[in-house]
Amino acid sequence: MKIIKNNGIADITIIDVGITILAATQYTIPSQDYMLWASSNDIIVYVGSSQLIVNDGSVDLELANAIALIQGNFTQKLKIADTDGKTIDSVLDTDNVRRLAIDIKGNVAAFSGIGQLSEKVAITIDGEYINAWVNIPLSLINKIADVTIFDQTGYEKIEADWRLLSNNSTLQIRSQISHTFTVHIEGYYFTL
Amino acid sequence: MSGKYIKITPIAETIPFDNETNGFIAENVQEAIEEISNSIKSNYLYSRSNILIPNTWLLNGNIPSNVSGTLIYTNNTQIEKIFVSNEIVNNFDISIYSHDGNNTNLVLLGTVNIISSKGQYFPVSWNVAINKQIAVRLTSGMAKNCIVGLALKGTV
Repeated sequence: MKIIKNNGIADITIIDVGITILAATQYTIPSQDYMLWASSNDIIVYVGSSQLIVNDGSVDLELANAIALIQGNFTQKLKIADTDGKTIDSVLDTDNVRRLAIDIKGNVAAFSGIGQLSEKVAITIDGEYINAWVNIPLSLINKIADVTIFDQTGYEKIEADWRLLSNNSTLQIRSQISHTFTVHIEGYYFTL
Repeated sequence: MSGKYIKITPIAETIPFDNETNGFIAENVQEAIEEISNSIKSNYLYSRSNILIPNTWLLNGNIPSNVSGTLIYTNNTQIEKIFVSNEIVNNFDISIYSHDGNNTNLVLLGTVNIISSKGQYFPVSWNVAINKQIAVRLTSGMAKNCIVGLALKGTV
């Protein structure tokens, strides 16, 4: 939506689009006229001098965004806030990889892959636990997507029995010999 | 029965032409034919989609007509008719202006009032000078998806 507000006390005629916006009124640009307004120099002058204000249907825009909206290349930035409502302004760049972890709260109908987590758990099965299903403790993941089991070094893949329970929130493995495993788990953390 | 054959070679210039009720200037047939030959009649359309608020200039093509209007290239040009249509039954005024291009020296030629109608036409006799441009504006009331037509006549 592209709305032009005239909050002043005088009517303003934007000559090169052929529109007069009366004092203390606003005008919604018809979509058919977007290209006409996009090429207008007069609207830039009025917006630049703060005589007219551009609103995107939600908020009044600052100058650069206002002009960008009129000219059709405006994309609103979304602000991400933490649980206290504090806006996150920057993302720490570690290992030359820009990452942002986002917890998804609320009812999630479909997961888009954002916020994927991975955990490694070392576990030794021996004694009475041999040939029994053993729970793998997870620190954060509560929705398991994939499991890979390695040997103690964490590099050599091992075929071992494993299963998911409780709607993919619990992982169990089983070994017929005494062994120390490194279990790689990929999944997500949901709070509803 | 016998008769006499008489060959007549009339000269158009000598044959009178009645111009009292048809708008012609010519008073003989020769002049009347030349008057027709030299006259040009044309229609121009101006439009603007969506809701039109007061003081909205209609577009000439895709350009506001106050910026680039219709250039008058004929002599003795006169607007003969204005025909207006729009989507909703409403009252509004359409004003016709002449100007020198780019909103300069705008002069009001006249205004027609559309009353409770989706379409009306108006016979007018408004003169426009050669090399002027014509612009059309909704000056009061409200219209939707409005089209204004002008019927012009002039001479080369």
